[in-house]
Amino acid sequence: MIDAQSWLVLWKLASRNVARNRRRTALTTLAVGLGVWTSVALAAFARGISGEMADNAIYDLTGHVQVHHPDYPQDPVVSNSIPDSSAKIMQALPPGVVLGSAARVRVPAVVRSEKKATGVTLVGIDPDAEHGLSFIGDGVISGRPIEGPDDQGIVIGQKLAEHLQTALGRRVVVMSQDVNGKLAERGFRITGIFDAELEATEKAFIFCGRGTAQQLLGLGAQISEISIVGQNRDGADAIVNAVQAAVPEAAVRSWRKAAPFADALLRVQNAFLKFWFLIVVIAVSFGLINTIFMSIFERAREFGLIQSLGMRPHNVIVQVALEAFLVLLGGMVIGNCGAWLTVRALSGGVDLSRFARGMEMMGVSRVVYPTILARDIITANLFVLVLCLLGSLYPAWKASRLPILEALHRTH
Amino acid sequence: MTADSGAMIVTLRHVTREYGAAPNLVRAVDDISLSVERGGFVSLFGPSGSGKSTLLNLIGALDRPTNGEIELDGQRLDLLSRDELAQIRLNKIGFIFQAYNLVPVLSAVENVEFVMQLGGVPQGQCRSRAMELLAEVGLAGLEHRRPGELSGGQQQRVAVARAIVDNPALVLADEPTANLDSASAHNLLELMRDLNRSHGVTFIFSTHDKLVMESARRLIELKDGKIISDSCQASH
Repeated sequence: MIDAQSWLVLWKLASRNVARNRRRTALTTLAVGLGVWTSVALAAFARGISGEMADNAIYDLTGHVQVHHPDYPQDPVVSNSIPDSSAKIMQALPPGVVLGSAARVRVPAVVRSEKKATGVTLVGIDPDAEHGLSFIGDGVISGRPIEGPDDQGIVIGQKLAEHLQTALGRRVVVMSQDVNGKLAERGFRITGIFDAELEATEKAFIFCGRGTAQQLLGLGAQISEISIVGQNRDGADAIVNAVQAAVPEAAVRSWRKAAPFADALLRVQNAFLKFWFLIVVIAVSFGLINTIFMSIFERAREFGLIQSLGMRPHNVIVQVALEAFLVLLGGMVIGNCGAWLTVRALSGGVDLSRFARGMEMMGVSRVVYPTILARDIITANLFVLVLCLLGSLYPAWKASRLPILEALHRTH
Repeated sequence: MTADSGAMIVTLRHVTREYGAAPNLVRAVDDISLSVERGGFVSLFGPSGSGKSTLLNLIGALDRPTNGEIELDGQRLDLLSRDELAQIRLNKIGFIFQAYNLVPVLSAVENVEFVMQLGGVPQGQCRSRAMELLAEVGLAGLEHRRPGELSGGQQQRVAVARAIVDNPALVLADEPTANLDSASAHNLLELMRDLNRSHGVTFIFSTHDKLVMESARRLIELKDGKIISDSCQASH
């Protein structure tokens, strides 16, 4: 045990020794700061990418939680439909937990213009429910959006319109299979063109009124899915449990299961960030340990002296570790401030248009907004603090084991 | 001299200290038996390499004997761990080194406080006792100077104050006047003698300095690691 008085002495010695060779201390502190800065700033950039990726997946009609017929996830056909239990679900959830829910018809279809045809997903929506929940609620750039469940028009993506060589006001034919397994076919006039963050989304979905889709497919009041959007991604599991209790007969999935690619990338990224933190910490700790060794070598006589006066070996270890702690603390302050300033400077977003195609394959937007998460700051700083302090214990132990007489006779 | 463990602060029995290995073995202390009474003012003298410093280091628990027993204030030093030896040095021994050996990042008063703080003495007491002692050794007004801002004589006075601040049973001084001019050496000797008389502190010092030898009450002469004479002088 170290008593309060000894702590005072150790703190005084450590702080003054750190201030003794200012240039060396400054360089070591900067090296630690650089390590923390790269860790936190890189994490912020990576979180920006992954956040965009996950949010895009969620905003692309996934939502935080999805409710389906149990067979729908494996076979998303019209026959795997469910009754609209949105009201029942919303009643079962505590107020404020979710932003809203949207019931949709969502089936595979073929859309054909007078020149080309392609496979798409036909989505029948209630536009009032989609606002704030999915991109279609806000993404129409020309023409008009779907105006109600019984809107007879169709809204397609900009890229799909280019692919089909069609345009606003022209007609397309949508073909799918109805509940009886017969061909359901109908002509629609293109009343709106939407723009999505990802080109793939613009090519994959076409939208009509939910009632119109139900009529086309013979679904009656049945729907394909209910999409629920909560306050944030992390709260999805709690919503899943509450919704599953309300509709035990349905399959309830969080976005992690509904968008497994995004989830897998997030997990890989978490592991990568920790690995990166570790590499940075190892590099920083080597520098730190080397500096401490130099410092101990230069002050061997003093270590001999203080031990000859009665300082116990474990107190010498604590003194050296305190010196390392002070340097680490300074470095962490510099690194965290640097990272915060970097992210602040990039708060308008980093334009990755030059890499847009590659980024889009991963579901990432053209503009990435770096995001600092408290857990990344804590993890990066804890890695640096704990591992570097552990690293400093070796030179500290060596200092405590210096033969006193030999140390006292050192000339430097 | 015969050993009486109650009256004796230090007792050595057949102590040997060897360095290196055959054929380059050096026996710095060779089978020395010795006792020093409490309150003594003892000078070890002899030519360079006679074993004075080695003997002081052994008595001061800075080194361990190759053979033999060392007893300090009733405790066998040769049987103690590193931690226990550190405790002994802290509580029972004060050191005055030839090269002053002050902690350069601490001021004069902090150097003196250092030993008390390690011993857990409350800060207020440490400061007042350290200031009092520095005044006693003639350094009033210089308490907050760092070692680099003090002369050799002043630094040695700080070292003396540090050595006695925690009321040790024994003060060991290795050539304390070697780096001082004659006036500073004389002042330092007067100071040590005063402390010996007034505080009853036992002093053992190694020296080449005739002035120091003359001031000692007991003179022990060493040569080739052995005691060749041990005599008492008339009281000064």
